[in-house]
Amino acid sequence: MKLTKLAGLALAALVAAAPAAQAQVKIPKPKIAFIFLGTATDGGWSQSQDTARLALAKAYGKVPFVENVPEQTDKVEQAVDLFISHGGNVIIAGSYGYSDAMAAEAKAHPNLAFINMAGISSAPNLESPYPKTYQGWYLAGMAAGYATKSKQLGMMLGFPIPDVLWDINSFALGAQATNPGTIVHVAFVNSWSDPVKEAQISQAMIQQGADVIATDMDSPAALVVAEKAGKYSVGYQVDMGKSAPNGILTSVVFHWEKELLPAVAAMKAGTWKSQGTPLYGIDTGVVDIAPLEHIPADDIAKIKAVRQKMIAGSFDVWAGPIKDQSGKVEVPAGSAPTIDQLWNMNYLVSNVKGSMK
Amino acid sequence: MPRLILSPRLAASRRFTFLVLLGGILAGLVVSGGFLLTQGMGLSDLASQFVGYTFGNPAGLDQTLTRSIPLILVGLSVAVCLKVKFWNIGVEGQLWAGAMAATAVSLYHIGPEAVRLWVMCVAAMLGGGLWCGVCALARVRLRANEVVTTLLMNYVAYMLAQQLLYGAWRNPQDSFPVSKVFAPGETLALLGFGHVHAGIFFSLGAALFCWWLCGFARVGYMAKAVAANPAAARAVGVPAGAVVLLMATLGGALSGLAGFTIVCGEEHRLTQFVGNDFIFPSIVIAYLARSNPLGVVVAAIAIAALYTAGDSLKAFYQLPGATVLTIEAILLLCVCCAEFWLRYQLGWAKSTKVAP
Repeated sequence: MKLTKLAGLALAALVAAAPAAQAQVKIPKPKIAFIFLGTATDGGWSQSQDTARLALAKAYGKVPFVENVPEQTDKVEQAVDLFISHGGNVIIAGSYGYSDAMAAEAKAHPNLAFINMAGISSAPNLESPYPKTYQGWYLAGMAAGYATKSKQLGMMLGFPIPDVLWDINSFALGAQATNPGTIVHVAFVNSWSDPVKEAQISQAMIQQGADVIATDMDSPAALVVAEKAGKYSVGYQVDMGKSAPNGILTSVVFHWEKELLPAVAAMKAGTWKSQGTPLYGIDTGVVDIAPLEHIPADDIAKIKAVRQKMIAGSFDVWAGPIKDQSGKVEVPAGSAPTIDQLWNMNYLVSNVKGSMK
Repeated sequence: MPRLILSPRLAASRRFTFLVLLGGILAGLVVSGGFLLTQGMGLSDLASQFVGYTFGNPAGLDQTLTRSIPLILVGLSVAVCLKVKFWNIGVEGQLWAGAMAATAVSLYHIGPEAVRLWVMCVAAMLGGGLWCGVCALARVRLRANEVVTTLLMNYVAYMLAQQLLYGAWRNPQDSFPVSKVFAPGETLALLGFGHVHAGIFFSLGAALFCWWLCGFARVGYMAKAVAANPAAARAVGVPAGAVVLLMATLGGALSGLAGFTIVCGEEHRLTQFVGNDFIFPSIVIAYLARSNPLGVVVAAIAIAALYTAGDSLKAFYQLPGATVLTIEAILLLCVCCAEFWLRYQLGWAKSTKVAP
């Protein structure tokens, strides 16, 4: 119920912004700056964004950045102000927890453009894009389903917010599709990056019998443990194959540059306007999976076929019937949730073991 | 043959003390400048980042002033405690305690709404005061070394805050480890210049109060006696233990007030990081100011400017975050070394003829 309230608020903000959304922001000479949650070489979340930063730098010249900016209003605003006072006019940040600070800065600087990857706030000059990560996680789930012998998978995630819940749910649905009866052990780390804890959870899940470990975190720590134990693994954000060369099945990867390059080009042309909180699917390439490994070629072909259907728009991960852990029907047969309903997701599907706490 | 000798200096004049301090700071700046030049910065870069941006640019000045608000208070906290030779290494813990107390008032709606902000302020000071007062009591009653106790109390406060943020105070909307946002009436007003908020009046007011207390009030005089020689002070009837307890509690309350200005002026909620990175600057500030409450204001603004410039160095010159810490350490060391000249003097040995 509480999540519903939050999404309601986000929606209200969107509606309020709608009339003004006509206003276009034109940035003839883009001076871009990045704000990272982790370090540019964290091997995950921020590194995937740094790839986009480098692509933008190739097109528009040097793109400065600051790293390790905590999800704290004053620290984020200080970083934004620093860039703006040095002539920055396109501020790109990347964290859910930056949402409030970015909204405040966008309001204070209506002529500049702001993008906050994975945020939930929006304004005429602030867009918070996110990929349909569930498409990638469904495909990864299929791979895990093919790979598992024990029919037990393990996945660790940050916080139980809707766009994280849909990762675990789609992973579980994908595994269920290729290997009925497979269960997924879930654990919430209560942080976006805590390598020590991630490694411990990975170890615990393996002891419980999981033979595929998937991480939804910003570091490959869990995969390193799985690799040592000789188990399979699934990475996230960047191709984490290097951390687990013998056991990795695939990674759900981001290609933020495929969203950011056109966005900045549109700003330069004067045709950009904030889409609010748009979701970019696998058809745009903003989300995808890294090459599939360590499963038979037949199975890889089946996964690739589903991927093609997703790109064509003829496959919906959330097609009903979908039941939650208590057996309650969340999506009835023959229907599929709307984007708004996805943003309200607050359940775990029936073959997930564990709680949202 | 004349020889150079070092001899103890009996008393240093105020003017000389000031010149030595200034010399120490200047030496520190020169060494820091040299250090930055080796890191690939040019002289003009140094000038534009350290002077132009931190004070000359509205955004830079905004950041410098906003940052200085809690820094002044934690600097005062260490300085006031030093007046009775009580080493307060626990400003972060006291700041956390103050921030948690203020947040509790907001979350549990304590006190009438009209004066809620003032209740939060008082609660924060009580929280911080208690956090430091316990350590002072332990020193007075049990002779527990306050460097150890105040330092360890930092961790207690930090863990308690994390426990609350991941438990009872977790944001119910999205399970994020931050408290609910305060009501508008529970926040400090912005003053119309960037992010500078009304907390600056609390900082400056606190500095004036400490200046009066240490320089003109009876307890300030007693504190001097206790710092100089506790046994002698007790012998002439100064309640040494009570004075230490009072000054340390006041010091803690000042750090608690810093927590209040952060949660009510900047964050408008309790977050996981409000109390981070204050211990080292608080000591540097108090030391640079030689524990003078008005000097603390100047030193805190200077250190705040250093942090503002440091952000810029990180972003545009890719210097590591440790650069600012390095400069702080250089400044502190240079001032400490300069103090050598307050205690010793260099002179020529007078050649005295010894009768054969």
